[in-house]
Amino acid sequence: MKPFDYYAPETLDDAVEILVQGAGDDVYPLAGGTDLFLRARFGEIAPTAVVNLKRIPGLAEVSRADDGSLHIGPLVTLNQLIASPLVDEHSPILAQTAGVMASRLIRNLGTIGGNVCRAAHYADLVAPLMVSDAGVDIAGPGGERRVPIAEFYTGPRETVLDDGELVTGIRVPATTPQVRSRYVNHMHREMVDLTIAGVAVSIRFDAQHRVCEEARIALNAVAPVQQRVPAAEKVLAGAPLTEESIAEAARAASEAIEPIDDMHASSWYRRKLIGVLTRRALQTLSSREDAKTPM
Amino acid sequence: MKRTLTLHVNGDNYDISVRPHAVLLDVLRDQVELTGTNESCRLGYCGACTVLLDGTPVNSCMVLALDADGRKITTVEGLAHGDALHPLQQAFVEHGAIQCGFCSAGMITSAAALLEENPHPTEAEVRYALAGNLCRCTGYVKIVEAVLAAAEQMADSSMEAERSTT
Repeated sequence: MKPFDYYAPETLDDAVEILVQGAGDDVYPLAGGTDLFLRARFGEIAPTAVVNLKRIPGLAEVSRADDGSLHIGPLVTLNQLIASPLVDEHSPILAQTAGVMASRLIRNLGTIGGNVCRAAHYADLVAPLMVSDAGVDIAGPGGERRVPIAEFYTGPRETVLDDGELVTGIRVPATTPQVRSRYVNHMHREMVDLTIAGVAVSIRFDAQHRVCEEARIALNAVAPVQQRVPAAEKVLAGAPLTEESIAEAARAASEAIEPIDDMHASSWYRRKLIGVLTRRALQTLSSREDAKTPM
Repeated sequence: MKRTLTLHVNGDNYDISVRPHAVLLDVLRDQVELTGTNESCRLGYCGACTVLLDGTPVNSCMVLALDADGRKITTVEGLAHGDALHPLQQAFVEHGAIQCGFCSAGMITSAAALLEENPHPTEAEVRYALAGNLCRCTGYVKIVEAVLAAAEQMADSSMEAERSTT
């Protein structure tokens, strides 16, 4: 890793100021560092300076807003997501997803903000955030704004973030007991590996927990950017969740995509995986088993 | 330009100066001169460099030394009490959980954090918690056995301690 300078601002304004001044000079915000330092060691990036965000108060907290939405600070670590009673109650899919990511050691460093901003096509939290209809809170030289997670990515490894802009939180809208969600992924190894295909599903059932009123399905690691699959969602909406409808939705999901092909898995294999994973994810919701039980 | 910081390592304070890009692993080994923490992959995969940061196990190759300023660091050297090995270290010796020994420091430090948080883990919980600590000799079976034995032994001695105080 080449030498770089270091800033540890104590306010968000100072951090934005440093990033604005450093725009174009490879100045990187530092959250968990697990990805930043990895890329620096591989020579993919050569930071001239890093701006450590950890001295800014409040960025590592989970809280509930007055409107019932969940606010997750960008520096909340993956293990914090797993341990947080608020996340468990409000958005268990995020805790469940964090539990399949990396190792315990890395989960103590890696953050939700880093996972989202890195814009990797295999970032596990993105598809679950998409089916949760999450928003990304952004602050920068031009003030604050909120962007739906589905509009946050503009292309492979590209986000809407402008020079000097930082993610200040992830907001997950209020939910109801009728909504159940699940993320299922596949890696070559059981643990400490990268996802080669993942499926996040979220179903809003009727009061009897029988008819699916609304379905959201988002796919991970099969395209340059995570994406919803409306063709599969449509199959499920307005009908009871049955073995037949699940099989049809799984088929629709795998047929709706043109998966990427790389050294980790072929396009053909990823398409097969999406069918299987979509079915498995939906099956966990159709039976009344606790959505938090690990696979 | 070098920066000064204070590291609290195993109960001692070290005032040192570092270059901003120095990672905790290198500073612990080269400046604090505690070489129990090992360097292996330097990519956050292998866990040989595991230390506890405020009680939380992390890969010290992935943490800037400056980011550890003022925080409590425990390395493998901080686990034993004088000449008395930590029950985990003792169990690793007794169960043959050490082959080449290169992963042992990280493995034991990681396991110490697990037992602190969960004194009675199941085998699956041990395997899950240690998934980020790789053993190149693949001696995992004995490692897991040793951690489970240490947990049992620690529970026994804490019960004894309770009995002797009542």
